[in-house]
Amino acid sequence: MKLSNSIFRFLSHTGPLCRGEEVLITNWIKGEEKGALLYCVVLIAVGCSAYGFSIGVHNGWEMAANVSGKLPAIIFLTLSVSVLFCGALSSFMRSGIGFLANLKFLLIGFAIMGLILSSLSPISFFASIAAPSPGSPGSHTIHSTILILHTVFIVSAGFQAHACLLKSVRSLAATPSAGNRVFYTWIACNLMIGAPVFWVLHPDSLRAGSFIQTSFQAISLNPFTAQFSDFFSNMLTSNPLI
Amino acid sequence: MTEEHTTTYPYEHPSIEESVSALHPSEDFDLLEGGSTAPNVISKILKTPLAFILESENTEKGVGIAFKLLLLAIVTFGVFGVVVGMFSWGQQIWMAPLKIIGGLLFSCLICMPSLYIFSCLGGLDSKFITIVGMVSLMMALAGFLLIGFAPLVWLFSASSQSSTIVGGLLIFIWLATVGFCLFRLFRVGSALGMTNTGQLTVWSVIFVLVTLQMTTSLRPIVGTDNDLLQFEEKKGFLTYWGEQLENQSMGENMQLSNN
Repeated sequence: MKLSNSIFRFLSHTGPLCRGEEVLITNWIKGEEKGALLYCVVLIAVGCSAYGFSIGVHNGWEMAANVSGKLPAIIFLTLSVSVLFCGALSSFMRSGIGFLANLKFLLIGFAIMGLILSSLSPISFFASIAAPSPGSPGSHTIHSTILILHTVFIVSAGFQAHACLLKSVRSLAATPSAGNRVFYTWIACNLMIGAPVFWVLHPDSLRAGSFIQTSFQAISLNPFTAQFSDFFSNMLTSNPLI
Repeated sequence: MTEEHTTTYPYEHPSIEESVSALHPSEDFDLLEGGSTAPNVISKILKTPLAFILESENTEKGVGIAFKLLLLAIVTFGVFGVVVGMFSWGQQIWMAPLKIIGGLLFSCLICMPSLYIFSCLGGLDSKFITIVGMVSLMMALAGFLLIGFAPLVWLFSASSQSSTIVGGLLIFIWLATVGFCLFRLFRVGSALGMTNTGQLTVWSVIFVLVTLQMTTSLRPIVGTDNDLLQFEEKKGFLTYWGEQLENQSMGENMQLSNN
């Protein structure tokens, strides 16, 4: 009963969270609401997992399971590296946003991203099952288009999610302009870190086998020998990655 | 001496007084003033759609309103579907309405979560049931508009043998209808306090694409086929309609060479 009440209480925060309501976010940053950060972690895991599943299902259930595990992992990996950079940079800029506050802000940001992606996952699922099967005539063009669209959706969702935090970070920072600088640091760090992380765990290495096994395979293959730009050129030309 | 400028809008746009009074309806406020007769309900949906949403937002009648609007949408889509099915007759007389109702309801269902989240991102502070009501209203409005176009569709289907031409006409009619309904959705969103409509624009594009893809996933809505659904061969809607146009021109060329 207590658990279901907590779940309903947090579900009622969905709207205010998406609107970036300052009171709610400030409370969460100040730690005045217990379990808020756990809720963020759950939102990231569930939201990204659902979206990952909808992307992977185009190539069958095994791939769906792989990508549903991989996408949240990419987000958490990006988050953990990004927190280190953003925390250090915001301290260096004397923004008034501490290391822990940075972690909480980024967690909330990615949780909103999880919400956006999960809301799009039914459409993405429909697109995956309605698209021509891999190998059928004309499938490559549609497949490439869908991949590019997914990339655009994920990046836009991330940007929009962080934009919801702008008001709060401006009010919690030492000065509003310092808040702006922290915000741009988040965007830059997440893009710079997220893109290579996506590449390291790119879908080609997950064609078969379990997620953990293939992730290690991907890392042991020295992924940096390949060009990052190959990811996009491959999508547009030949050798579809998924 | 100052001159007062008054702005007039071409469509229904509630004045501040109307919006305030609707946001705080008096106890004797009656949404369906004039009775729940069919002409009155149709007139209210077409002329004052915002009243339904405000009623849904401010009272506990949200579920009932959404359900009734959805029911109206189903009936109107069904009637339009029967007119579309008259092109081929046979099994299509019941398959076309079924596909149109199913396709549009499924499109709404999969787009509903994103509409709620995107509306919230745009600053809309509403209950989820209000968003369901907005979609139901949009569908009911679309249904009535499609019924308005039904004689035109019947005329073309009676005078043409080409499923591509009738299909193209149906797509054109659907785009015009959905455009009008989305315009109304934006107005409702703004009236409810949406500050940024960028997210709603993105959602609108996605919704239109989903409905267009539905015409291919549920093919043929116009034309003959024994199977209700075709899951074997999957196609994008651009590929499908491109092929249809190609077949149409090839058919015309063959007819010319035979003559």
